[in-house]
Amino acid sequence: MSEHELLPLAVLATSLLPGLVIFFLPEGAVRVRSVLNLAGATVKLVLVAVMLWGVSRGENYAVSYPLLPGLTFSLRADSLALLFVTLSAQLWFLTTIYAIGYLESSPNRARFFGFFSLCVTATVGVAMAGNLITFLLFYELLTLSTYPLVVHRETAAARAAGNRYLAYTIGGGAALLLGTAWLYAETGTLTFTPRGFVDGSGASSPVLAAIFFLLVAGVGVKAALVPLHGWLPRAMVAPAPVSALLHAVAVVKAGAFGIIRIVYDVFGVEYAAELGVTDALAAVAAVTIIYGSLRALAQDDLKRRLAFSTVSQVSYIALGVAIVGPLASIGGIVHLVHQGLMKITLFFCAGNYAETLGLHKVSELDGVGRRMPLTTAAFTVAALGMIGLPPMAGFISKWYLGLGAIEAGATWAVFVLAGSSALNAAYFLPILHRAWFRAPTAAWAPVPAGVRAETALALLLPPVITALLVLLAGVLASVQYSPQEWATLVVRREFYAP
Amino acid sequence: MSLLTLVVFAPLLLLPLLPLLCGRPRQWLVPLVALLPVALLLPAQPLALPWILLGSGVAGGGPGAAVVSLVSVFFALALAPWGKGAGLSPRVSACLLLAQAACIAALVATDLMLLLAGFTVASYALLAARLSSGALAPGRLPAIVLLLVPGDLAAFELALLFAKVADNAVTPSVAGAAAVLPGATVIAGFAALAAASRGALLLLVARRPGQLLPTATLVLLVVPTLGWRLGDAAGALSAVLAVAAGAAATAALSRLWPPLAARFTQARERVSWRLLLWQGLDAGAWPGRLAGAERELGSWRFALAGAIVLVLLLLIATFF
Repeated sequence: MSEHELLPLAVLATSLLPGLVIFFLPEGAVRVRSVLNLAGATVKLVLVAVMLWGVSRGENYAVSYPLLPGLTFSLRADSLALLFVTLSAQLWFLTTIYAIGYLESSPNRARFFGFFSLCVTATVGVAMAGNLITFLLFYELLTLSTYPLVVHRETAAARAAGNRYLAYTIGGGAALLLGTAWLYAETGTLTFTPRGFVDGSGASSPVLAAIFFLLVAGVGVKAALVPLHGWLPRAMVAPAPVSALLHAVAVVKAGAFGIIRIVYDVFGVEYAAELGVTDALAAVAAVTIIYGSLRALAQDDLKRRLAFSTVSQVSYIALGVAIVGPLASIGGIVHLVHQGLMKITLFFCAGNYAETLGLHKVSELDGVGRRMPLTTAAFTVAALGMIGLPPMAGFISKWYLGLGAIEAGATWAVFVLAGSSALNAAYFLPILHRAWFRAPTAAWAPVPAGVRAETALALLLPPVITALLVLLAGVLASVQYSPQEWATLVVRREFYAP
Repeated sequence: MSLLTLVVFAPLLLLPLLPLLCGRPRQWLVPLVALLPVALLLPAQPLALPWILLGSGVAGGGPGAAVVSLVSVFFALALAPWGKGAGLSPRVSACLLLAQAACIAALVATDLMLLLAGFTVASYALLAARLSSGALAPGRLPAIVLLLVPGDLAAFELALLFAKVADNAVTPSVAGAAAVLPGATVIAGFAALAAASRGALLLLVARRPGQLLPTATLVLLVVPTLGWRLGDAAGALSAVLAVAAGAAATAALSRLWPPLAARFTQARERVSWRLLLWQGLDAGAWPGRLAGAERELGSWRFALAGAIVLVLLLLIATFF
């Protein structure tokens, strides 16, 4: 087996093996568990960096095994896959550090970290899947490995949220399975191909359109497209690291990534436009963007406000995909990374407020900036990025989406972007005002003995680092290997090759 | 990255933080920091900054740099300890210097990305300066934010408009887009109006003279300079005219519709604008007089309405 076949498997193994070992470790083996987690995350980062360098030079990393007659288990690290894998690997590393600090005194940590690692394995598998059947396998593994994380606290609310999550995602998985089987029956192949494989398959347009909607409905559940988004705000009962994982690293992103794969590598964006299905997808994305922002406005619970913000922001990706054109595609694909960085920062900060001061509601945040300046500064950077203010990362996404909309003649999308920016400002800026400029309503709890900073370092460092990444991804957008440059490479190499 | 680039821009990014590090006893440093861009800008040649945003550039040297440097000189004078800036806290000084750095970045930018970024950062730095001092009347922040956000949207749409006329270039150049677009002067006027509406509002809600002077200096110098950058002399003229027309229109509306204006403003005292002009500025009496001036010039809601109309006009200009 060559290194080009070994590396994709090794990247999977760096989270799968530690996860399996952690299940069998005793609850008190904190140090061993932490070392395993962090070692796995570090090795994964190194391996991903090697593949990133290789793919940028035109190398191919792929491996496949027979699965069923005519179907193979296939992993392939193309440039799009690596964009998502890099995001997941980086954020997994930081989320692991955060989770170690956050769950310091929580029960069932072995179970938590075991499923946490499985969840990341599934996400990386979704990213590197070389065909739709492999994608489906990892997509379902992601559902099953995330459920125990959602119900981790084992309260009635957590179980109810978990049940709803399962109902939605298993329903989505069924739609995806049906669409996959139907597509295989019509085309005889499921291999992801640059610019798609259904064109010229001989299947009729209405049948292909029906398959498209089945597949998109399947992944649309995890991408929280309206009206399939109902599970996401309820899942906020989970601990903050899980919320961060759901919104920025794994579940929601896997759904958005699935939309990208289906449009570009199954149907081909130009053929999808010919079928007329991209218009419908764009309409759903636009409705989701505005609906999510409007619902976020009314939430006093900080995590619920962030959850509805995710509903809105993730649909920028779907909108970029559905507006047919290279610039909009760059905007949508780069937002996959930018939204992840910004949203994980916000959830880390929300977790810090809850864990350190017991603050869960927006109305409780008066003056918190003076007590927790670094956390609030990180929150501020991410929130301004979400609004799309230059020079933050969110502005780069919004700029490309706006340019792409004009390029494709979809001028209505500029109005949607402008409206969404205004709504984002309306629900983020009041939080910043409360945090920085209002006096606290009561004295803050004293900093615990032994804690030098505003909170434990394991909780403080991850949001500060991700906030810096938000700033750097914007200011240094043109540097080689930046998310924007990599997204441009993906679009030029795979989607709109001359 | 060239050494020259590093020398020119690293200080601009880092120096605004200096007052925070030095504290109140070193206030004489503030005007010196404000003056430094002059020394850096005048000898500098045009620079390409491919690693900033989506590939930016700055126009250095020549008469342009001289004009932009004037902004720094006046701003430094306004911040001098013997002037009205004597009582500024380190946080406020840092915010004002950040606003200056961002304004200069916008003014020397050769592409719209850097112009837009500088423009936005400057606006929020000015707002942060105002908030840091606690000098904002209660209830005014939502009004200001309501004005800032449409202003940002207007600027974003303006940049997209330029990108469209520059054949969908990712980073359209200021000069190229202005040359291609018919009526660039009018567009420059709109852009300046967007800047002025925000700056004017920040100016009008000031409650302490120490911040009013540097803020006013910055805004009043930046508006015509921005117009000039977008549309040469005619752009500067149209920017000034647009600002004057906007101010006159809001003042006239207030005059013509005083009951409504009185309802909207929170000012208790009424001091004539003419009195304010003729009797000079008495620092001790400023808060009341400014409140009166605000009433004379028009409430924030008129300004907000103006900003919304501006956004709509830009959208119409973009797409129809």
